[in-house]
Amino acid sequence: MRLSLVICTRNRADRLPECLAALDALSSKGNFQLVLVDNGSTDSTRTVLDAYEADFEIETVSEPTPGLARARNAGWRASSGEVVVFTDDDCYVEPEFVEHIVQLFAQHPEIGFFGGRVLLHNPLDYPITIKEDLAEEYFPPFRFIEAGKIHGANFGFRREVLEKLGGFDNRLGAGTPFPCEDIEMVGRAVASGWAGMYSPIPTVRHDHGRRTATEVSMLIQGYDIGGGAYYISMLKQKTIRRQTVRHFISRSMALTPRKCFRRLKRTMRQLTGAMRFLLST
Amino acid sequence: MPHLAFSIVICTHNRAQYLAKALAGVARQDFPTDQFEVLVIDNASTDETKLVVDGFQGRDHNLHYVYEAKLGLSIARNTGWRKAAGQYIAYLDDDAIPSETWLTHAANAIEQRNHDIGMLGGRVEPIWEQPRPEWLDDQLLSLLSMVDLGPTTQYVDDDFGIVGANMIIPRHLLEQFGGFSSEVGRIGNLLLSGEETLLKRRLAKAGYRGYYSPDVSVQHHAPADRLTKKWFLERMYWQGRSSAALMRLEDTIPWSRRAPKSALELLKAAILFVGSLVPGQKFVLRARANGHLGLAEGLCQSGASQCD
Repeated sequence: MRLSLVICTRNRADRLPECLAALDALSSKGNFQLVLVDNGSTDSTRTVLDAYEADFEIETVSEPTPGLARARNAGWRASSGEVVVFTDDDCYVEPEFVEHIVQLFAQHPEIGFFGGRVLLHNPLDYPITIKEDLAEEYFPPFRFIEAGKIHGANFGFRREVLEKLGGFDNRLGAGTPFPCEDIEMVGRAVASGWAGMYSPIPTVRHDHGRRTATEVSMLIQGYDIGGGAYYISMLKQKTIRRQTVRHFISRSMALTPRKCFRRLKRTMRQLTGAMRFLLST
Repeated sequence: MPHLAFSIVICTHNRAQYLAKALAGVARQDFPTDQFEVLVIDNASTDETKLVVDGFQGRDHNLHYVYEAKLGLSIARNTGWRKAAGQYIAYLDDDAIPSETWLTHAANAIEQRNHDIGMLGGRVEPIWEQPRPEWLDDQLLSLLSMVDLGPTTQYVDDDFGIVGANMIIPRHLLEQFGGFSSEVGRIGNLLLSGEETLLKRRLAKAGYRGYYSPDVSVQHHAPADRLTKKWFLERMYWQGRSSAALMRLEDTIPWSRRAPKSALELLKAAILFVGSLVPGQKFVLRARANGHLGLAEGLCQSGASQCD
Protein backbone atom coordinates (compact mmCIF):
# COMPACT_ATOMS: atom_id res chain seq x y z
CA MET A 1 0.00 0.00 0.00
CA ARG A 2 1.43 3.31 -1.08
CA LEU A 3 1.33 6.05 1.56
CA SER A 4 1.73 9.80 1.07
CA LEU A 5 2.54 12.03 4.02
CA VAL A 6 1.48 15.67 3.57
CA ILE A 7 2.99 18.45 5.68
CA CYS A 8 1.77 22.01 5.21
CA THR A 9 3.82 24.93 6.46
CA ARG A 10 3.67 28.69 6.57
CA ASN A 11 6.39 31.11 7.71
CA ARG A 12 8.18 28.75 10.03
CA ALA A 13 11.50 28.42 8.27
CA ASP A 14 13.49 28.43 11.51
CA ARG A 15 11.61 25.50 13.06
CA LEU A 16 11.05 23.45 9.93
CA PRO A 17 14.46 21.70 9.89
CA GLU A 18 13.59 19.86 13.12
CA CYS A 19 10.35 18.57 11.67
CA LEU A 20 12.17 17.42 8.53
CA ALA A 21 14.99 15.84 10.52
CA ALA A 22 12.50 13.53 12.23
CA LEU A 23 11.52 12.23 8.79
CA ASP A 24 15.12 11.17 8.10
CA ALA A 25 14.73 8.58 10.84
CA LEU A 26 11.70 6.90 9.23
CA SER A 27 12.40 3.20 8.99
CA SER A 28 10.25 2.58 5.93
CA LYS A 29 11.40 4.40 2.81
CA GLY A 30 9.83 2.28 0.08
CA ASN A 31 6.39 2.90 -1.33
CA PHE A 32 6.34 6.17 0.56
CA GLN A 33 6.05 9.75 -0.63
CA LEU A 34 6.47 13.03 1.24
CA VAL A 35 4.51 16.07 0.03
CA LEU A 36 5.56 19.46 1.37
CA VAL A 37 3.16 22.37 0.91
CA ASP A 38 4.30 25.96 1.23
CA ASN A 39 1.16 27.92 2.14
CA GLY A 40 2.11 31.41 1.02
CA SER A 41 5.16 31.87 3.22
CA THR A 42 6.98 35.18 3.03
CA ASP A 43 10.12 34.02 4.84
CA SER A 44 12.78 31.57 3.60
CA THR A 45 10.49 28.53 3.92
CA ARG A 46 10.69 27.72 0.22
CA THR A 47 14.50 27.64 0.35
CA VAL A 48 14.42 25.28 3.33
CA LEU A 49 11.93 23.01 1.57
CA ASP A 50 13.87 22.96 -1.69
CA ALA A 51 17.11 22.20 0.12
CA TYR A 52 15.65 19.17 1.89
CA GLU A 53 16.85 15.86 0.53
CA ALA A 54 16.13 12.34 1.74
CA ASP A 55 16.18 8.79 0.42
CA PHE A 56 12.47 8.76 -0.34
CA GLU A 57 10.35 10.54 -2.90
CA ILE A 58 9.64 14.23 -2.17
CA GLU A 59 7.14 16.47 -3.87
CA THR A 60 7.07 20.19 -3.08
CA VAL A 61 4.01 22.27 -3.94
CA SER A 62 2.91 25.79 -3.32
CA GLU A 63 -0.53 27.12 -2.31
CA PRO A 64 -0.27 30.91 -2.14
CA THR A 65 -3.68 31.59 -0.52
CA PRO A 66 -3.48 31.20 3.28
CA GLY A 67 -5.76 28.58 4.83
CA LEU A 68 -4.85 25.13 6.07
CA ALA A 69 -7.74 23.44 4.23
CA ARG A 70 -6.51 24.89 0.93
CA ALA A 71 -2.98 23.79 1.70
CA ARG A 72 -4.02 20.25 2.65
CA ASN A 73 -6.06 20.05 -0.56
CA ALA A 74 -3.09 21.16 -2.66
CA GLY A 75 -1.05 18.51 -0.83
CA TRP A 76 -3.24 15.45 -1.35
CA ARG A 77 -4.03 16.43 -4.93
CA ALA A 78 -0.30 16.47 -5.70
CA SER A 79 0.19 13.12 -3.98
CA SER A 80 -0.17 9.61 -5.35
CA GLY A 81 -0.66 7.41 -2.28
CA GLU A 82 -3.68 5.17 -1.73
CA VAL A 83 -3.60 6.48 1.82
CA VAL A 84 -2.92 10.17 2.48
CA VAL A 85 -1.68 11.09 5.96
CA PHE A 86 -1.36 14.60 7.35
CA THR A 87 0.85 15.96 10.09
CA ASP A 88 1.87 19.52 11.01
CA ASP A 89 5.08 21.48 10.65
CA ASP A 90 5.54 21.60 14.42
CA CYS A 91 5.30 17.82 14.83
CA TYR A 92 7.94 15.09 14.90
CA VAL A 93 6.96 11.66 13.63
CA GLU A 94 8.25 8.51 15.31
CA PRO A 95 10.46 6.19 13.19
CA GLU A 96 7.82 3.47 12.63
CA PHE A 97 5.10 5.96 11.75
CA VAL A 98 4.60 4.75 8.19
CA GLU A 99 4.55 0.99 8.93
CA HIS A 100 2.09 1.50 11.77
CA ILE A 101 -0.38 3.29 9.54
CA VAL A 102 0.00 0.83 6.67
CA GLN A 103 -0.64 -1.99 9.15
CA LEU A 104 -3.69 -0.25 10.57
CA PHE A 105 -5.32 0.13 7.16
CA ALA A 106 -4.38 -3.45 6.24
CA GLN A 107 -5.95 -4.85 9.41
CA HIS A 108 -9.07 -2.71 9.00
CA PRO A 109 -9.90 -2.74 5.30
CA GLU A 110 -13.31 -1.20 6.02
CA ILE A 111 -12.11 2.08 7.55
CA GLY A 112 -11.89 5.24 5.47
CA PHE A 113 -9.90 7.36 7.91
CA PHE A 114 -7.81 7.16 11.08
CA GLY A 115 -6.49 9.44 13.78
CA GLY A 116 -3.30 8.78 15.72
CA ARG A 117 -1.72 9.74 19.00
CA VAL A 118 -0.35 13.25 19.54
CA LEU A 119 2.05 13.60 22.46
CA LEU A 120 3.39 16.73 24.10
CA HIS A 121 6.98 17.12 22.93
CA ASN A 122 8.21 19.76 25.31
CA PRO A 123 7.14 19.28 28.93
CA LEU A 124 7.41 23.04 29.46
CA ASP A 125 4.59 23.65 26.98
CA TYR A 126 1.01 23.76 28.14
CA PRO A 127 -0.57 20.27 27.89
CA ILE A 128 -3.08 21.27 25.25
CA THR A 129 -3.79 20.41 21.59
CA ILE A 130 -2.58 16.84 22.24
CA LYS A 131 -4.32 13.48 22.29
CA GLU A 132 -2.64 10.94 24.52
CA ASP A 133 -5.38 8.32 24.93
CA LEU A 134 -4.12 4.76 24.94
CA ALA A 135 -7.44 3.13 24.13
CA GLU A 136 -8.44 2.42 20.56
CA GLU A 137 -11.74 3.91 19.51
CA TYR A 138 -13.90 2.84 16.61
CA PHE A 139 -16.07 5.35 14.78
CA PRO A 140 -19.00 3.68 13.06
CA PRO A 141 -20.52 5.21 9.94
CA PHE A 142 -23.42 7.65 10.26
CA ARG A 143 -22.55 8.49 13.85
CA PHE A 144 -21.78 12.10 14.82
CA ILE A 145 -18.13 12.45 15.81
CA GLU A 146 -17.15 14.95 18.45
CA ALA A 147 -14.47 17.58 17.74
CA GLY A 148 -11.24 16.57 19.49
CA LYS A 149 -11.62 12.84 18.85
CA ILE A 150 -9.24 13.11 15.93
CA HIS A 151 -6.47 15.67 15.62
CA GLY A 152 -5.26 17.35 12.45
CA ALA A 153 -1.68 16.87 13.64
CA ASN A 154 -1.91 13.14 12.98
CA PHE A 155 -4.67 11.79 10.78
CA GLY A 156 -5.27 10.38 7.34
CA PHE A 157 -7.74 9.12 4.76
CA ARG A 158 -8.01 6.59 2.01
CA ARG A 159 -7.57 8.57 -1.19
CA GLU A 160 -11.01 7.44 -2.31
CA VAL A 161 -12.66 9.32 0.60
CA LEU A 162 -10.95 12.60 -0.24
CA GLU A 163 -11.75 12.21 -3.91
CA LYS A 164 -15.41 11.33 -3.45
CA LEU A 165 -16.04 14.15 -0.98
CA GLY A 166 -14.03 16.77 -2.85
CA GLY A 167 -11.44 17.17 -0.12
CA PHE A 168 -11.32 19.72 2.67
CA ASP A 169 -13.59 22.76 2.85
CA ASN A 170 -11.49 25.70 1.63
CA ARG A 171 -13.23 28.15 3.95
CA LEU A 172 -11.73 26.41 6.98
CA GLY A 173 -8.41 25.81 8.69
CA ALA A 174 -5.70 27.86 10.39
CA GLY A 175 -5.32 31.08 8.43
CA THR A 176 -9.13 31.49 8.42
CA PRO A 177 -11.27 32.23 11.49
CA PHE A 178 -12.36 28.57 11.67
CA PRO A 179 -9.66 26.07 12.68
CA CYS A 180 -11.77 22.94 12.17
CA GLU A 181 -10.96 21.67 8.66
CA ASP A 182 -9.64 18.38 10.11
CA ILE A 183 -12.69 17.25 12.06
CA GLU A 184 -15.02 18.67 9.41
CA MET A 185 -13.46 16.41 6.77
CA VAL A 186 -13.76 13.45 9.14
CA GLY A 187 -17.36 14.42 9.94
CA ARG A 188 -18.33 14.45 6.28
CA ALA A 189 -16.67 11.07 5.78
CA VAL A 190 -18.71 9.62 8.64
CA ALA A 191 -21.89 11.25 7.36
CA SER A 192 -21.30 9.68 3.96
CA GLY A 193 -21.03 6.20 5.38
CA TRP A 194 -17.36 5.68 6.11
CA ALA A 195 -16.08 4.13 9.31
CA GLY A 196 -12.86 5.16 10.95
CA MET A 197 -10.80 4.71 14.06
CA TYR A 198 -8.46 6.25 16.56
CA SER A 199 -5.37 4.20 17.17
CA PRO A 200 -2.74 5.06 19.79
CA ILE A 201 -0.02 3.34 17.79
CA PRO A 202 0.96 5.81 15.04
CA THR A 203 2.48 8.60 17.08
CA VAL A 204 3.76 12.14 16.59
CA ARG A 205 5.17 14.54 19.16
CA HIS A 206 3.72 18.04 19.06
CA ASP A 207 6.15 20.90 19.73
CA HIS A 208 3.52 23.66 19.87
CA GLY A 209 5.34 26.13 22.10
CA ARG A 210 2.30 27.63 23.84
CA ARG A 211 3.14 28.48 27.42
CA THR A 212 1.27 31.57 28.57
CA ALA A 213 -2.35 31.71 29.71
CA THR A 214 -3.12 34.20 26.93
CA GLU A 215 -1.76 31.91 24.20
CA VAL A 216 -3.78 29.02 25.57
CA SER A 217 -6.95 31.05 25.88
CA MET A 218 -6.56 32.41 22.33
CA LEU A 219 -6.20 28.83 21.10
CA ILE A 220 -9.32 27.67 22.92
CA GLN A 221 -11.32 30.65 21.70
CA GLY A 222 -10.27 29.79 18.17
CA TYR A 223 -11.34 26.16 18.67
CA ASP A 224 -14.72 27.31 19.94
CA ILE A 225 -15.28 29.48 16.88
CA GLY A 226 -14.21 26.56 14.68
CA GLY A 227 -16.45 24.24 16.71
CA GLY A 228 -19.42 26.39 15.79
CA ALA A 229 -18.55 26.21 12.11
CA TYR A 230 -18.23 22.41 12.46
CA TYR A 231 -21.75 22.14 13.91
CA ILE A 232 -23.14 24.16 11.00
CA SER A 233 -21.37 21.98 8.50
CA MET A 234 -22.71 18.81 10.15
CA LEU A 235 -26.22 20.24 10.22
CA LYS A 236 -26.01 20.30 6.44
CA GLN A 237 -25.46 16.52 6.41
CA LYS A 238 -28.88 14.85 6.31
CA THR A 239 -27.67 11.57 7.78
CA ILE A 240 -26.40 13.00 11.04
CA ARG A 241 -28.36 16.21 11.39
CA ARG A 242 -30.48 15.08 14.33
CA GLN A 243 -27.50 13.63 16.16
CA THR A 244 -25.68 16.93 15.72
CA VAL A 245 -28.51 18.85 17.36
CA ARG A 246 -28.74 16.30 20.16
CA HIS A 247 -25.02 16.41 20.72
CA PHE A 248 -24.92 20.19 20.86
CA ILE A 249 -27.71 20.30 23.40
CA SER A 250 -26.24 17.59 25.61
CA ARG A 251 -22.84 19.30 25.52
CA SER A 252 -24.26 22.69 26.42
CA MET A 253 -26.54 21.51 29.18
CA ALA A 254 -25.48 19.97 32.43
CA LEU A 255 -27.18 18.58 35.49
CA THR A 256 -26.37 21.45 37.79
CA PRO A 257 -26.96 25.11 36.98
CA ARG A 258 -23.45 25.98 38.10
CA LYS A 259 -21.85 23.59 35.62
CA CYS A 260 -24.21 24.80 32.99
CA PHE A 261 -23.15 28.39 33.62
CA ARG A 262 -19.49 27.46 33.43
CA ARG A 263 -20.04 25.90 30.04
CA LEU A 264 -22.01 28.87 28.86
CA LYS A 265 -19.02 30.88 27.67
CA ARG A 266 -17.79 28.12 25.42
CA THR A 267 -21.31 27.45 24.16
CA MET A 268 -21.78 31.13 23.41
CA ARG A 269 -18.52 31.20 21.51
CA GLN A 270 -19.54 28.16 19.51
CA LEU A 271 -22.80 29.85 18.66
CA THR A 272 -21.03 33.03 17.55
CA GLY A 273 -18.68 30.84 15.51
CA ALA A 274 -21.66 29.14 13.90
CA MET A 275 -23.19 32.50 13.10
CA ARG A 276 -19.94 33.84 11.73
CA PHE A 277 -19.61 30.83 9.46
CA LEU A 278 -23.16 31.27 8.21
CA LEU A 279 -22.60 34.96 7.60
CA SER A 280 -19.33 34.38 5.78
CA THR A 281 -20.87 32.14 3.17
CA MET B 1 -9.78 84.50 19.00
CA PRO B 2 -6.32 84.37 20.49
CA HIS B 3 -3.19 84.45 18.46
CA LEU B 4 -2.80 80.80 17.54
CA ALA B 5 -6.34 79.47 17.52
CA PHE B 6 -5.98 76.19 15.65
CA SER B 7 -3.49 73.43 15.06
CA ILE B 8 -4.57 71.31 12.13
CA VAL B 9 -3.26 67.78 12.72
CA ILE B 10 -3.12 65.36 9.80
CA CYS B 11 -1.98 61.85 10.64
CA THR B 12 -0.89 59.86 7.62
CA HIS B 13 0.49 56.45 6.75
CA ASN B 14 1.69 55.78 3.19
CA ARG B 15 -0.88 57.91 1.40
CA ALA B 16 1.23 60.66 -0.14
CA GLN B 17 -1.14 61.19 -3.09
CA TYR B 18 -4.14 61.85 -0.86
CA LEU B 19 -2.08 63.94 1.54
CA ALA B 20 -1.19 66.37 -1.25
CA LYS B 21 -4.88 67.05 -1.83
CA ALA B 22 -5.53 67.51 1.89
CA LEU B 23 -2.66 69.98 2.20
CA ALA B 24 -3.85 71.88 -0.86
CA GLY B 25 -7.27 72.17 0.81
CA VAL B 26 -5.65 73.42 4.00
CA ALA B 27 -3.72 76.03 2.00
CA ARG B 28 -7.01 77.41 0.62
CA GLN B 29 -8.47 78.26 4.05
CA ASP B 30 -9.94 81.76 4.22
CA PHE B 31 -8.91 81.95 7.88
CA PRO B 32 -6.04 84.34 8.84
CA THR B 33 -2.88 82.33 8.24
CA ASP B 34 -1.17 83.66 11.33
CA GLN B 35 -3.90 82.16 13.51
CA PHE B 36 -3.34 78.51 12.67
CA GLU B 37 -0.55 76.02 12.13
CA VAL B 38 -0.47 72.66 10.35
CA LEU B 39 1.17 69.51 11.65
CA VAL B 40 1.61 66.47 9.47
CA ILE B 41 2.26 63.41 11.62
CA ASP B 42 3.98 60.93 9.35
CA ASN B 43 3.16 57.58 10.93
CA ALA B 44 6.02 55.40 9.71
CA SER B 45 5.37 56.00 6.02
CA THR B 46 7.73 54.43 3.53
CA ASP B 47 6.49 56.33 0.46
CA GLU B 48 7.14 59.92 -0.64
CA THR B 49 5.11 61.50 2.21
CA LYS B 50 8.05 63.60 3.37
CA LEU B 51 8.62 64.95 -0.16
CA VAL B 52 4.98 65.94 -0.47
CA VAL B 53 5.15 67.87 2.80
CA ASP B 54 8.41 69.52 1.73
CA GLY B 55 6.65 70.64 -1.43
CA PHE B 56 4.17 72.63 0.63
CA GLN B 57 6.78 74.24 2.86
CA GLY B 58 7.40 77.95 2.45
CA ARG B 59 3.80 78.92 1.75
CA ASP B 60 2.42 81.49 4.12
CA HIS B 61 0.98 79.12 6.70
CA ASN B 62 2.92 77.37 9.38
CA LEU B 63 3.58 73.79 8.27
CA HIS B 64 5.43 71.29 10.45
CA TYR B 65 6.49 67.78 9.59
CA VAL B 66 6.68 65.29 12.50
CA TYR B 67 7.79 61.69 12.07
CA GLU B 68 6.20 59.13 14.41
CA ALA B 69 7.88 55.74 14.02
CA LYS B 70 5.43 53.80 16.17
CA LEU B 71 2.49 52.66 14.05
CA GLY B 72 -1.03 53.33 15.34
CA LEU B 73 -3.58 56.05 14.71
CA SER B 74 -4.08 56.86 18.40
CA ILE B 75 -0.34 57.14 18.87
CA ALA B 76 -0.02 59.52 15.92
CA ARG B 77 -2.96 61.60 17.08
CA ASN B 78 -1.46 61.92 20.54
CA THR B 79 1.89 62.97 19.11
CA GLY B 80 -0.13 65.54 17.15
CA TRP B 81 -1.68 67.37 20.08
CA ARG B 82 1.45 67.09 22.19
CA LYS B 83 3.50 68.88 19.53
CA ALA B 84 0.79 71.42 18.76
CA ALA B 85 0.72 75.00 20.00
CA GLY B 86 -2.83 75.97 19.01
CA GLN B 87 -5.70 76.31 21.43
CA TYR B 88 -7.89 73.92 19.42
CA ILE B 89 -6.68 70.79 17.69
CA ALA B 90 -8.42 70.29 14.36
CA TYR B 91 -7.99 66.67 13.28
CA LEU B 92 -8.26 66.11 9.57
CA ASP B 93 -7.89 62.74 7.83
CA ASP B 94 -5.16 62.47 5.25
CA ASP B 95 -7.77 61.53 2.64
CA ALA B 96 -10.09 64.43 3.46
CA ILE B 97 -10.25 67.90 1.87
CA PRO B 98 -11.56 70.74 4.06
CA SER B 99 -13.93 73.34 2.65
CA GLU B 100 -12.40 76.82 2.30
CA THR B 101 -14.46 78.09 5.22
CA TRP B 102 -13.72 75.11 7.48
CA LEU B 103 -11.76 76.96 10.15
CA THR B 104 -13.82 80.16 9.89
CA HIS B 105 -17.01 78.26 10.65
CA ALA B 106 -15.29 76.31 13.37
CA ALA B 107 -14.18 79.55 15.00
CA ASN B 108 -17.75 80.91 14.83
CA ALA B 109 -19.20 77.76 16.38
CA ILE B 110 -16.64 77.84 19.16
CA GLU B 111 -17.37 81.48 19.93
CA GLN B 112 -21.05 80.67 20.31
CA ARG B 113 -20.69 77.53 22.43
CA ASN B 114 -17.34 77.87 24.00
CA HIS B 115 -18.22 76.65 27.47
CA ASP B 116 -19.30 73.07 26.90
CA ILE B 117 -17.85 71.97 23.57
CA GLY B 118 -15.85 68.79 23.97
CA MET B 119 -15.69 67.99 20.30
CA LEU B 120 -16.77 69.93 17.27
CA GLY B 121 -17.54 68.40 13.90
CA GLY B 122 -19.64 68.92 10.82
CA ARG B 123 -20.58 67.45 7.50
CA VAL B 124 -18.30 64.88 5.94
CA GLU B 125 -19.24 64.49 2.30
CA PRO B 126 -18.15 61.63 0.07
CA ILE B 127 -15.86 61.94 -2.92
CA TRP B 128 -16.84 58.82 -4.84
CA GLU B 129 -13.81 57.26 -6.49
CA GLN B 130 -16.13 55.05 -8.47
CA PRO B 131 -19.91 55.25 -8.88
CA ARG B 132 -21.75 54.58 -5.66
CA PRO B 133 -22.92 50.93 -5.65
CA GLU B 134 -26.71 50.52 -5.54
CA TRP B 135 -26.53 48.17 -2.53
CA LEU B 136 -24.75 50.80 -0.47
CA ASP B 137 -27.51 51.99 1.84
CA ASP B 138 -27.33 55.41 3.55
CA GLN B 139 -27.15 53.62 6.89
CA LEU B 140 -23.77 52.23 5.91
CA LEU B 141 -22.20 55.55 4.93
CA SER B 142 -21.02 56.20 8.48
CA LEU B 143 -18.63 53.27 8.06
CA LEU B 144 -16.85 55.31 5.42
CA SER B 145 -16.71 58.12 8.00
CA MET B 146 -19.40 60.15 6.23
CA VAL B 147 -21.61 62.45 8.32
CA ASP B 148 -24.69 64.42 7.38
CA LEU B 149 -27.04 65.37 10.19
CA GLY B 150 -28.82 68.00 8.12
CA PRO B 151 -28.56 71.79 7.92
CA THR B 152 -29.11 72.66 11.59
CA THR B 153 -26.47 72.98 14.27
CA GLN B 154 -27.01 70.57 17.13
CA TYR B 155 -25.50 68.69 20.01
CA VAL B 156 -24.65 65.10 19.11
CA ASP B 157 -24.37 62.37 21.68
CA ASP B 158 -24.28 59.23 19.57
CA ASP B 159 -21.10 57.61 18.30
CA PHE B 160 -21.40 58.53 14.63
CA GLY B 161 -22.18 62.25 14.71
CA ILE B 162 -18.56 63.31 14.84
CA VAL B 163 -15.87 61.27 13.16
CA GLY B 164 -12.10 61.31 13.30
CA ALA B 165 -11.92 62.59 9.73
CA ASN B 166 -13.21 65.97 10.87
CA MET B 167 -13.07 66.69 14.58
CA ILE B 168 -11.92 69.68 16.54
CA ILE B 169 -11.05 69.35 20.22
CA PRO B 170 -9.82 71.94 22.74
CA ARG B 171 -6.19 71.20 23.48
CA HIS B 172 -6.63 71.57 27.23
CA LEU B 173 -9.24 68.80 27.23
CA LEU B 174 -6.93 66.43 25.38
CA GLU B 175 -4.35 67.21 28.03
CA GLN B 176 -6.79 66.78 30.87
CA PHE B 177 -8.17 63.46 29.57
CA GLY B 178 -4.87 62.06 28.36
CA GLY B 179 -5.74 62.11 24.67
CA PHE B 180 -6.57 58.95 22.76
CA SER B 181 -6.33 55.51 24.27
CA SER B 182 -3.93 53.36 22.31
CA GLU B 183 -5.64 50.20 23.50
CA VAL B 184 -8.23 50.54 20.77
CA GLY B 185 -7.70 52.20 17.45
CA ARG B 186 -6.67 51.16 14.04
CA ILE B 187 -3.31 49.46 13.99
CA GLY B 188 -1.83 49.60 10.51
CA ASN B 189 -4.51 48.25 8.22
CA LEU B 190 -6.49 46.36 10.86
CA LEU B 191 -10.15 47.23 10.86
CA LEU B 192 -10.46 48.28 14.47
CA SER B 193 -11.79 51.65 15.47
CA GLY B 194 -13.12 53.38 18.50
CA GLU B 195 -10.37 55.56 19.93
CA GLU B 196 -12.32 58.75 19.27
CA THR B 197 -15.50 57.15 20.60
CA LEU B 198 -13.81 56.35 23.88
CA LEU B 199 -12.57 59.92 24.25
CA LYS B 200 -15.99 61.28 23.28
CA ARG B 201 -17.64 59.21 26.00
CA ARG B 202 -15.11 60.26 28.59
CA LEU B 203 -15.65 63.90 27.67
CA ALA B 204 -19.43 63.47 27.81
CA LYS B 205 -19.21 62.01 31.30
CA ALA B 206 -17.45 65.18 32.43
CA GLY B 207 -20.10 67.39 30.81
CA TYR B 208 -18.33 68.27 27.54
CA ARG B 209 -20.54 67.51 24.60
CA GLY B 210 -20.21 66.89 20.91
CA TYR B 211 -21.43 69.72 18.71
CA TYR B 212 -22.34 69.49 15.05
CA SER B 213 -22.14 72.56 12.87
CA PRO B 214 -22.88 71.57 9.26
CA ASP B 215 -20.60 74.16 7.68
CA VAL B 216 -17.54 72.88 9.49
CA SER B 217 -17.39 70.57 6.54
CA VAL B 218 -14.85 68.43 4.75
CA GLN B 219 -14.95 66.14 1.77
CA HIS B 220 -13.70 62.63 2.34
CA HIS B 221 -12.61 60.01 -0.15
CA ALA B 222 -14.66 56.86 -0.52
CA PRO B 223 -11.83 54.77 -1.95
CA ALA B 224 -12.65 52.31 -4.71
CA ASP B 225 -11.14 49.38 -2.82
CA ARG B 226 -13.60 49.90 0.04
CA LEU B 227 -16.68 49.96 -2.12
CA THR B 228 -17.07 46.20 -2.00
CA LYS B 229 -19.56 44.13 -0.01
CA LYS B 230 -16.71 42.20 1.52
CA TRP B 231 -15.15 45.37 2.94
CA PHE B 232 -18.42 46.49 4.51
CA LEU B 233 -19.10 43.09 6.05
CA GLU B 234 -15.66 42.95 7.61
CA ARG B 235 -15.82 46.57 8.69
CA MET B 236 -19.17 45.95 10.40
CA TYR B 237 -17.84 42.87 12.13
CA TRP B 238 -14.81 44.73 13.47
CA GLN B 239 -16.98 47.68 14.42
CA GLY B 240 -18.82 45.25 16.67
CA ARG B 241 -15.61 43.83 18.05
CA SER B 242 -14.40 47.38 18.74
CA SER B 243 -17.59 48.26 20.56
CA ALA B 244 -17.17 45.18 22.73
CA ALA B 245 -13.56 46.11 23.41
CA LEU B 246 -14.70 49.63 24.32
CA MET B 247 -17.32 48.36 26.74
CA ARG B 248 -14.76 46.25 28.50
CA LEU B 249 -12.22 49.04 28.54
CA GLU B 250 -14.60 51.56 30.07
CA ASP B 251 -15.55 49.33 32.95
CA THR B 252 -14.89 45.75 33.82
CA ILE B 253 -18.15 43.95 33.25
CA PRO B 254 -18.31 40.53 34.88
CA TRP B 255 -19.12 37.56 32.69
CA SER B 256 -22.49 37.18 34.40
CA ARG B 257 -23.53 40.50 32.87
CA ARG B 258 -21.72 40.07 29.58
CA ALA B 259 -23.35 36.70 28.90
CA PRO B 260 -26.93 37.96 28.52
CA LYS B 261 -25.70 40.93 26.46
CA SER B 262 -23.77 38.63 24.20
CA ALA B 263 -26.75 36.30 23.84
CA LEU B 264 -29.00 39.20 22.95
CA GLU B 265 -26.59 40.47 20.31
CA LEU B 266 -26.28 36.98 18.88
CA LEU B 267 -30.05 36.73 18.70
CA LYS B 268 -30.21 40.05 16.85
CA ALA B 269 -27.56 38.80 14.43
CA ALA B 270 -29.52 35.61 13.85
CA ILE B 271 -32.77 37.48 13.21
CA LEU B 272 -31.11 39.88 10.80
CA PHE B 273 -29.37 37.00 9.05
CA VAL B 274 -32.64 35.14 8.57
CA GLY B 275 -34.19 38.40 7.38
CA SER B 276 -31.42 38.87 4.86
CA LEU B 277 -32.22 35.49 3.29
CA VAL B 278 -35.64 36.69 2.19
CA PRO B 279 -35.36 37.33 -1.58
CA GLY B 280 -35.12 41.00 -2.46
CA GLN B 281 -33.84 41.92 0.97
CA LYS B 282 -31.24 44.59 1.29
CA PHE B 283 -27.55 44.09 1.87
CA VAL B 284 -27.75 46.36 4.89
CA LEU B 285 -29.45 43.59 6.92
CA ARG B 286 -26.55 41.25 6.41
CA ALA B 287 -24.10 44.02 7.24
CA ARG B 288 -25.94 44.82 10.44
CA ALA B 289 -26.02 41.13 11.34
CA ASN B 290 -22.23 41.19 11.10
CA GLY B 291 -22.08 44.16 13.46
CA HIS B 292 -24.16 42.40 16.11
CA LEU B 293 -22.14 39.25 15.64
CA GLY B 294 -18.87 41.08 16.22
CA LEU B 295 -20.30 42.54 19.40
CA ALA B 296 -21.55 39.14 20.58
CA GLU B 297 -18.21 37.52 19.86
CA GLY B 298 -16.22 40.31 21.51
CA LEU B 299 -18.35 40.06 24.64
CA CYS B 300 -17.75 36.36 25.13
CA GLN B 301 -13.99 36.51 24.75
CA SER B 302 -11.91 36.03 27.85
CA GLY B 303 -8.72 37.84 28.80
CA ALA B 304 -7.69 41.38 28.03
CA SER B 305 -6.66 40.81 24.43
CA GLN B 306 -9.93 40.95 22.55
CA CYS B 307 -8.30 42.57 19.57
CA ASP B 308 -6.62 39.47 18.12
